[in-house]
Amino acid sequence: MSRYVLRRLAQVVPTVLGITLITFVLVHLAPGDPVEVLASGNGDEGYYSFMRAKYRLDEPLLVQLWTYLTNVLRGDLGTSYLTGEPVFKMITPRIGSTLLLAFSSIIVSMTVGIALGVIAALRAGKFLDRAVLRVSVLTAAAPSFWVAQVLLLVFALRLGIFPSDGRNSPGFEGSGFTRVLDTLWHLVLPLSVLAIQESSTLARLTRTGVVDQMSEDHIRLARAKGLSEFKVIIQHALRRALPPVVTVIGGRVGHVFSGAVVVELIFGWPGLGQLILSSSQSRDTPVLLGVLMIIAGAVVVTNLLTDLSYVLIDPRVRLR
Amino acid sequence: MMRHSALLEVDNLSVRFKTSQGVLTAVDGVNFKLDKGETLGIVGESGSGKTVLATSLIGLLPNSATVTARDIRFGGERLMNLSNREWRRIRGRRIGMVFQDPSTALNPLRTIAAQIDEAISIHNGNMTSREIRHRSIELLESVGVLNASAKAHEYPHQWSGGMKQRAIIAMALSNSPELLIADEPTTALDVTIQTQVLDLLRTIQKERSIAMIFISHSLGVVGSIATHVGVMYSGKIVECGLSSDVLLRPSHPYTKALVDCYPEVANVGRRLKTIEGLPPRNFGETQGCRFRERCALGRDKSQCLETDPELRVQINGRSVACHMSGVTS
Amino acid sequence: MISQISDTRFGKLIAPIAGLSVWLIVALSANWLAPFDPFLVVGEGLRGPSIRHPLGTDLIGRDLMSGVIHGARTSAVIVLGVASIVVVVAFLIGLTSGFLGGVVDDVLMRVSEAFQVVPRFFLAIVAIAYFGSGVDKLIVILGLTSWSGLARVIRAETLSVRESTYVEAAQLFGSGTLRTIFREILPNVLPTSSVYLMLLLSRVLLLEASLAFIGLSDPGSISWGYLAGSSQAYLRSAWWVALFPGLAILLAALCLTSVGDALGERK
Repeated sequence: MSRYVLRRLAQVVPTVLGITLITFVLVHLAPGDPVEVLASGNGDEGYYSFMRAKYRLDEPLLVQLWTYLTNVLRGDLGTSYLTGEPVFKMITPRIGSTLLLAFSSIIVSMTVGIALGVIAALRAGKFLDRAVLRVSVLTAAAPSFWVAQVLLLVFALRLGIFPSDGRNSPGFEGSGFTRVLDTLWHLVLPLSVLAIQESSTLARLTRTGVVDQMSEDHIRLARAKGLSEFKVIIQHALRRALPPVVTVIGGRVGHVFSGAVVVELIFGWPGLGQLILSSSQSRDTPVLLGVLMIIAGAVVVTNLLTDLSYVLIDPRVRLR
Repeated sequence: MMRHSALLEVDNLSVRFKTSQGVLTAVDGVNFKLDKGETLGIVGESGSGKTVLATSLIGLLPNSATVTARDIRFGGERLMNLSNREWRRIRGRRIGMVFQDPSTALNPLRTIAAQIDEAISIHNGNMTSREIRHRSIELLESVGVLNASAKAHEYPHQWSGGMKQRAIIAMALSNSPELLIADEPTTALDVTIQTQVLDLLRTIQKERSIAMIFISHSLGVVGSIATHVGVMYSGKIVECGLSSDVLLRPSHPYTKALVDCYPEVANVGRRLKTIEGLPPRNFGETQGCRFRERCALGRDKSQCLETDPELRVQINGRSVACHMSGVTS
Repeated sequence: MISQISDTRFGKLIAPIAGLSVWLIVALSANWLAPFDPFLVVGEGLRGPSIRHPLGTDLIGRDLMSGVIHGARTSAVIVLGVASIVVVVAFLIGLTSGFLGGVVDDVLMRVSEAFQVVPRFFLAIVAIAYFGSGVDKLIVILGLTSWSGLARVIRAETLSVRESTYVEAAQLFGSGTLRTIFREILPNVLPTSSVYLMLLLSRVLLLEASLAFIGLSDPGSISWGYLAGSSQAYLRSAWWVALFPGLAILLAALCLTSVGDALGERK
């Protein structure tokens, strides 16, 4: 097992590097002189050459890439073309919010999704099962911004139950526990949007996996022991159905982060979403690259975690 | 076999399935009695209904199956139309079952010990987990697993087929059931291991005097372990009696044909025979004897064509369902 | 009887294919079908659904119904365009990889893996920001980021067909490589690939909508996502501008996935 773990860990670095490489190359292949774009055509040649020298844009591409990577390893993500601020400082206050939103959605959708899937399997063929299936198909086809806007309209603007904006109420002074509560209150709607979509997919997958297990021999044996149907499903069918579901969760992490960006913009959640949008619109390359690398890192690490948990669940992999 | 009141009495048991092609009768009017200490070997080809019969006795048939009988009594209790809860009291406690393929019957994600623990704890809520684990190890030792206390913490994929089957037998016996149903328990094992597992089952027979139903398609295996034999063909029992009787002096043409296929049971030196054709599947109503088309005796006889022979008891305690019994071939 | 028909594979296809046809017809006839020019101010702003404007008007008074109708055209163009690119690239790479195997297979699979790891949404944002958001560029960008999944499916199917003996037999009888591919391999690859393609296209539709929502769409054409995105600022006052375009997207995506699901069902 340790060989497998080490191998997976070793894959993280080249993957993140690969993503950085692709984005870097893509960005620099783009037509248009970045300096001119930044200055919106308002500068003169002297200004341009000054800017090019400052950001070393006149050096060959490979050199630029190398400089960038070595800087990153030292913790320097560059400075924004637009504001001159260090990218690191722009990212740090926002990264926590995005990670909070993404990971809490994943955890909630895992719990709800798997539970719903088990219930649907228990009532296979009956109303609840078919209802879960129909809802799952619908939510998979719905754009996340639509779901977000509907929830925002109904629960925040019309019914006024939840706040419609931000991570904390404006002018909030409290700290500690009250602050946490306030944050959670603001988290509910954005999280629900992401969780609704993810949990219905997971529910459908769990349900299929469990139902497939039910015709297996080891389930027959468990029943022959006198085990109750509920325990048969949880202790035996679910355990075997879980590994592929876990793998899928890993695969969908990228999707969760993508959804998070849109949700952040709609609910004014102060995460990296806003930063991605503004930096891509203004072609602020260092900021954009920095944010993308962080997100790529988060996706890769989460993938790693789900792969490793697979090892924990299945002893056949563990004991090789 | 005809005693005052046997442990298991099955009277006119039928199992029908609803399928897309009609109603399939898998078990048709089966009768037998079984007492403790006796082993009933049920022999038949694939499709004869023997597994369905076994599964119906423990209530694990799918919802598409309808079980009808005049009566099924187990230890005085009626075994018909039980609720799930009532079945759960019986399964694993009064009736234990052993399945055919040990490699698929165990949950690969849990240790052997945990799975045996489960079998015990279901019916013994008052035992502590330590007591339960102790008992599991004891059980494994009693079925011949060496170094049980260490090996029990391993996972099924680390055990051999024979050892796994022993663990499954241990599980089935964990709560000292009165009846053990073994559905082809040695079929999936290597020949040498088969002998070991059969020895184990024989030892269990002797030591515990439980009732056993042993299902197999192999006459040889059945002959070595069963006290009584029931031959199943196409959902019906066509012959049954003491195994020595039935196997050495078969009466029904099908039994005779089966015996002929087994050189070690039939006379030495005769050519190995095969029975042509396949057993029929019973959709809807059937007329006449089901074995007729493959029967050397009755193929053209009008009586065999028109009437389905009933299982009749003969003088020596044997039962045969054949119009031609008494005719030697 | 209706439930009997709708339970068959064919029955399940009727509704979504009808939906897709409606979408296509609306897209083709947008100019005639739409009551107004979607870009023109034709009424009072922020008016809810009425007889004159069945879906209401947006902030500055443009008719939403016309916007949705023209949006159907934009999405149809993009989906069909992306489908063409994806099909060509995926089949080329998948068939080659599966049929030739060896080093070629390894290299091609590494390349497709690289595309699969990066979340497409972010890759698209970067590409659009730097290359532009015209419809043609959108199609190319979305196409180039979406082919890898289908390529894998095609490769897997090709591999399993290649192993089977009747392909060997066909080759023994002298049919050339290209002929083998077309006559033996393709018919077997098509069923699974078409299912996957349908599901992929619905994801592409949703991706394009999200990109348009955050402003990365062709400014010269109306897109459903763009309409929804523009409503964000005045959501409180005009819920219809958010609801209807999003609903259109949902229905279109639903038709695509339903066709895929129905095709994928075993008879």
